[in-house]
Formats: sequence, C-alpha cells, structure tokens
Amino acid sequence: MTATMSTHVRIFRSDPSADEASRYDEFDVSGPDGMRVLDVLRSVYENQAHDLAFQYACRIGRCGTCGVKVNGKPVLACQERATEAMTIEPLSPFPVLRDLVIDRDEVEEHYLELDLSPQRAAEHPGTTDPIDPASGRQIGILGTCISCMICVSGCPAVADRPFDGPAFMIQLRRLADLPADEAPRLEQAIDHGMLECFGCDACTQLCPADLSPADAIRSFRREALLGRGRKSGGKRG
Amino acid sequence: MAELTPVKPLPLPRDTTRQSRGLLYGALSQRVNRIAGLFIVLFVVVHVAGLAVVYSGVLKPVLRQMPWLAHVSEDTWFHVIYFFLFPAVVFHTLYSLKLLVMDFGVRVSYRWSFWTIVGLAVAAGLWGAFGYVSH
Repeated sequence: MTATMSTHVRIFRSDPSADEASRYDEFDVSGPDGMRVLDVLRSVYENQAHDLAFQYACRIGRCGTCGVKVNGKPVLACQERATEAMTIEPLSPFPVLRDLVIDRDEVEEHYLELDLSPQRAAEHPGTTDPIDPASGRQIGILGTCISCMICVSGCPAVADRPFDGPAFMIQLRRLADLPADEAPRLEQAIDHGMLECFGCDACTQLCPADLSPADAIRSFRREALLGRGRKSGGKRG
Repeated sequence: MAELTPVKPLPLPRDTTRQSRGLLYGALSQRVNRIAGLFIVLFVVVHVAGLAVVYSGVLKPVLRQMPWLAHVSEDTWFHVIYFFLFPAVVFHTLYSLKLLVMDFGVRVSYRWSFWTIVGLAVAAGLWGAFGYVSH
C-alpha cells in the first residue's frame, strides 16, 4: 500500500485584469508520500479551484516553466517535494499575469537584446568551426541553462541593484567562451550589471540545471582583472 | 581523439527536491554581511564623534554638557559592545576577502566558507566575552 501525506497549502491568487486585490487561498491536499509541489497544484486545480492559473510542461525539470516560490524560495514545482505546510507564490520580481503565471516577455526581450547568436568577425567559412573538446564540453554545459529564472528570482542583487540576473550572465559567458564569437561579451555583461553581483552563490545553490552562474560571473570578473586566457567557469558538481 | 579535460566538480551537496527546506546561504550571508558592515560603520561614526567631543577644543562646550562621555570607555558595561564588534569585524573582513579571492579564480564552497567564517566570528565574540568576564 502506498504511503500518503497531507499538505496545507496557501496559494497566491491574483488577477490584475479583474482589478482585484491579490490574496492567498488556502487548500488541504492529500496524495502519495513524496508528491511534488506540481502534484499539489494539479490536485487543487482539478478538485478545488478550477480557475487556478499555473504553468508546466515537461514535468521532469527540463523545460523550466513551472518555477514558483515555495515558502519564499524559488524552486521548480515539478521537482520540489511537497511539505506539510506550504505557501506558493509566483516568481519575483516578474510581473504576474495571473495567480502563479508570470509574464516572461521581459525575459525574452532581454535575451533578444543580448544577441545570443555567435557574432563573427568575418563571414562564416561554410565549414565546421574547430574547437577543442574541453572548451566544447564547457560551452555545452553552459548551454544546458533552462532559463527557468529561478536564479534571477533568488538573486539578492537583482532585488537591490541594476543587475539583469545570473541567467543572462551564464548565456553571455557561453558566448564569450565560443571561439567563433567576436562580440564584446565582457562589456555586455558589465553593461547588464555584472559588477553588481556580490558573489553570494544563491544562484549556484538554487540552479535546477546544476550550473553555477556565480562561477560564470567570476570568470568574467577574472577576465576583467587579468585579461583573457583563463579557464572559464559555470559548471558545478 | 583528444582526451577530455575532466571538469573538477565543486563539493556542493544538494537535494534538488528539497530546495525550499534548507538555508539559502547566499541570502543569509548577504544579510549577515550587511548587518556586520552597518554595525562597524555605526561604531566608527559614534567612536569618531565621541573622540572629537572629548579631544577637540572646539567641541568642549558639548563635553561640558556630557561630562560622562570622557569616561564612558572605562565603564565595564561599555565593553559589552565588543561581544558584537569583534564578530562583526571578523565576519565582514573574512567574507569580503573571500569574495575578492574568488574574483581572482580561487574556487571556494559557499557552504563551508560561510560556516567557517561564522565559526571564526563567533570565536572572536567569545574572546571578547572572555575579556569582559575576566575584567
């Protein structure tokens, strides 16, 4: 017989289009022991609040769309185990479209603004770019960022200072490490607030993709201090 | 085929399924660092203002209004401040040094570095307390 658990959950509710004040609705949910926060949300939606808005897609921690704050900490709802008492809120500091759904337009605009395709100095030669395997592996690892914005939501510097956030820095670092890219990624990182990061590693602790945006930022800083030619960062165990 | 350079992982034990339960070290260390910095700044400002009143001829009229100020540092209770000042200075200095060193490429685990610095700061506070008690 499967063990079960119960949870008492407070869920942030808001519908800016209806011009209503935001509120917290409370629900009790029972389910199998070890159920995830997403299971709780789906249960609430299916059985108690049919108008609850939340997002998810892959359910295996790879799409990055189900990010929410649980008891104040940003997590992927599909990965986080439910606890006996939870407060679930949308990721901050993003505008809320409804309930737990955030507006990602600003995020997408940021990515567009950063021009994250390789900027070549000369026309593409039409052949495969040579790259040493270690660099290729490193770039591949940095490319596994799922853009879930959990690091941005958990970053104290984003809340306090003009800093775009760790997720954007890791993308810039990936391009900076790519031999074919000639764009001034360090300058871009500085323009987007890289120096405002105070290296607390909250992003490293929170990243569901096991990356370390803080290490990527430190690689930029090392580059700013000592010049290029140093090993980059961004991967962690 | 060229051999891949192994990427040395950082020792960062983590359970991705229980993120909301643990300490968020980054936010915590940022807050502690700020509180420590604020305490140091306040202490320095009050200290400099106090010394200015006691030793500056221009501010003698103020000292006449507050004659106790000249002897305040001799009071035993005043030394309680070292319980907090020593840990604040140790934490703020070591944490800031850690950030500087990491900018130069030294990789340090945020977990053990935080607890090590907290431990040293607490030790400094206990040292201050020992000095107070043994006085």
